[in-house]
Amino acid sequence: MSITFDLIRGHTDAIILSYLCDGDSYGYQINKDIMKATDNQFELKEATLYTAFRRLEQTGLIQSYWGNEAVGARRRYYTITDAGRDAYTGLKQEWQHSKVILDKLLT
Amino acid sequence: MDQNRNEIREEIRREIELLFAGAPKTRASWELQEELLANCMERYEDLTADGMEPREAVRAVVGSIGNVDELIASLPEEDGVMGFVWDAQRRRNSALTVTIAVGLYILAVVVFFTGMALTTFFGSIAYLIGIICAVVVCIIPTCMLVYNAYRYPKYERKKDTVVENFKQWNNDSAKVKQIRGAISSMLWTLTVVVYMLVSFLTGAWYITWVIFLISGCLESAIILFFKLKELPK
Repeated sequence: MSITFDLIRGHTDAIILSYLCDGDSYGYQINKDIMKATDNQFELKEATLYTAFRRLEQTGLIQSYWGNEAVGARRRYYTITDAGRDAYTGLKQEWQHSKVILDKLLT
Repeated sequence: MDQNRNEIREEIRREIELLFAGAPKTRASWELQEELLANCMERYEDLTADGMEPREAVRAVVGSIGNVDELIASLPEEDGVMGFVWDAQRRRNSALTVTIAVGLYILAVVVFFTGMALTTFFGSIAYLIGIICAVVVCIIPTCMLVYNAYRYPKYERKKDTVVENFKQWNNDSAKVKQIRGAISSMLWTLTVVVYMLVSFLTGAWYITWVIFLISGCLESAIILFFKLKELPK
């Protein structure tokens, strides 16, 4: 289980970019989407998620803006940039490639 | 109910502040905590809506944050120098605007001298028309420069340090200076026009020079206005 976790965690950036390709989102929403997609089998720690956000923002793959929620705390939304879309395509191809190799090695 | 929610919110905030006790006290750090709090509150709402006990929900929410060491390390450091963030395209546009403006100023001078040269054929009226045309031509580049000064990218503070604060202040005041320069050049050109017009029309050369003194006062007033605006609030 922990190997699975580490393996998936290594693709946090790609997962985030994948969700942002479908539209702007914020931290908890993305985590909820991940849980839903994996039938609650996988969930990112908040700290992992935000470390990835900062990294992606600093490399210009995503941008953030504050929402204007009338009540409660303000959400910080993220939006993907063109560079982010390109990076996502690259990461996805890399994963496909690794998958093929792993399948060949783990027979 | 609402009061209870506020208490929970404060409790989670305190927990987050504890986790971030070792983080630099920067805007980026503060924003991160704010973001975390918003997401934690939402998670809390979801958990309690699913029937979890409030106490348990708070524990679960705080537990889901995980280890923030790496996150804190990813926060921008305090020092470091960030230059102006503006692309080559904008720089080219700005250079083009300034070049055209300078060209128009030169054209204005040419118009002025043409008017002066034509006085031999048309008398002093040509001189007057020359000045008026020159000033009208001057208006365009002045407006262009003022507009350009506004388009000049505002220095955006990347980090909350004294150096950054100073750089932003420096940038802002440079912009103010530029605008002030444009206003003052416009004022003095207009003064000359008014002086010439009034003098030629009235012939009262012995007194019309007062206009220059009035303009001097006006300029001081404008400078004072900018100085007052520049004062920290």
